Amino acid sequence: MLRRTNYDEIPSSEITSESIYRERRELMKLGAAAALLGTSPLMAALGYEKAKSTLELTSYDQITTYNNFYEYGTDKESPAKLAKNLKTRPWTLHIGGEVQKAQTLDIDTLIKKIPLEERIYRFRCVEGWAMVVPWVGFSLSSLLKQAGLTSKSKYVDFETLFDPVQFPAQRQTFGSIPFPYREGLRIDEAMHPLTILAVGLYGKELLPQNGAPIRLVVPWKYGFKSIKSIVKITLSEHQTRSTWNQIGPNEYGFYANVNPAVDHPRWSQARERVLGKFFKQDTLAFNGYGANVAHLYKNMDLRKFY
Amino acid sequence: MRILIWIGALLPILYAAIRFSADLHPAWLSDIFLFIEGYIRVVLTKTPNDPLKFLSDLCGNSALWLLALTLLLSPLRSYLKINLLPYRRLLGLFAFFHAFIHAMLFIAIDQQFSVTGVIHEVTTKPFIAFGMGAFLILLIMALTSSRKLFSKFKGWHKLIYIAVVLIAVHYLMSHKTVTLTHIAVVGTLFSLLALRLLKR
Repeated sequence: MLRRTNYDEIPSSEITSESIYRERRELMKLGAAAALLGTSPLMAALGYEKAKSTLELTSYDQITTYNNFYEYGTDKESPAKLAKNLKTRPWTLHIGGEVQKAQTLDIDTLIKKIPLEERIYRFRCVEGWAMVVPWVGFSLSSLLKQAGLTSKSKYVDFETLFDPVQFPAQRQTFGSIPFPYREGLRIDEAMHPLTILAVGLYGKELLPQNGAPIRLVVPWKYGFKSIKSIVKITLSEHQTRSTWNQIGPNEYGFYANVNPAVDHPRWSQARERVLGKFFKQDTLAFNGYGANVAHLYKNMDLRKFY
Repeated sequence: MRILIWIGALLPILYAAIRFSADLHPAWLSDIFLFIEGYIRVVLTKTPNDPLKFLSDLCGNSALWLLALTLLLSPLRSYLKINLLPYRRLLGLFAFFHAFIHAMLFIAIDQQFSVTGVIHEVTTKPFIAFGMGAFLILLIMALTSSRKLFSKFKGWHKLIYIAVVLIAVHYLMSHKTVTLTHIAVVGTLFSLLALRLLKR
């Protein structure tokens, strides 16, 4: 059966004109060709289901050269320069805590076993910049179901690799953030069909600066929730504090849903800078995924639980 | 000297022009830039990913360093007997020039000339308020910097001490984490103030 997932709400402003559409088709053909010739024999062999979207994709070059990855430093350009040699194989992902079957998975075995699909998502950073990324991955829920949830699986915690030899900033004692980087989701957020673990983008395997070999993508939340280079997923009964929330609880909430109505203490969140564009555009509630996820927060005061 | 200051102070603008035209460079020019990139840590061959932030950071930093240079001239004379004071006004005005672009990017592009928007941001966010306060001080100083007005408004120019403190806080708050580099920058600004206060 062919599964098509189209989670975009399409505002009229985003409906593409015929000529731009044609141009884009050409670009996509080029992109597809590049993907076939590209660096991912694994994904080319496995294949993945292509997605359709009217969103204008951010270029591969921009997505891979403008990254927050504090393990490599605090600026956006360092990750692309320093991450080249990150050893992403062999790589294991441990799933444990409140699950029926704790397991340690080899990344290649996992990718081969789980059907991959493309998801074209908006990505909004808490700093005010935004992009549109064609991820390749699978829903987190499928993996969590495999491990088996229990009545005590109420939160899902994620952890990035801790390896000071490979991550220069993890050797620093001052001027960075506490490592290993941690993030968390409520179980209903984690099980939501929009929430994915990505292993590729633009049809190629993820580059280290984008969180290779496996990262979380939660498109309705600010980017810092979408933790990179994950080695550990732990289910637990209680909410634990995620890294940025721990550093600045008044600036970065646990939920961190994209919300143009609630400003960051230092800057407005009402509008956003799309990469490559000089003029800002309006930010959408839940980053445009409100129809899919707003119900998760029905009786919550989103000013309090930002 | 004047020409040197003009060239130096306008370098950031040239740099921005090079970055924004990166896709239009002829091959020979790109080759030269690639060669330079190999030797010094500078990007020349790529259009900025986040253009508004790129320009805003570039002008903000340029204003900060030109202001630091402006502040250096008086200690240079009192400690080392090097008199560059005749060039102080020009340097100061260039610092203001970059601060002006920095502020206008916020007012015109970020807030789209919305008066209520700017007031809302200034009144709800200390980060913006500090920056705007410093800009207003620099504006007053720039407007009263002519020979004639300066003699009348000399006292007002003492406000620079407050402006520098505001700028330092604004600078620190503009980053998500405070690194050693940031502390060094703020340290430089404060030492310049201290040097002036110690020997006037």
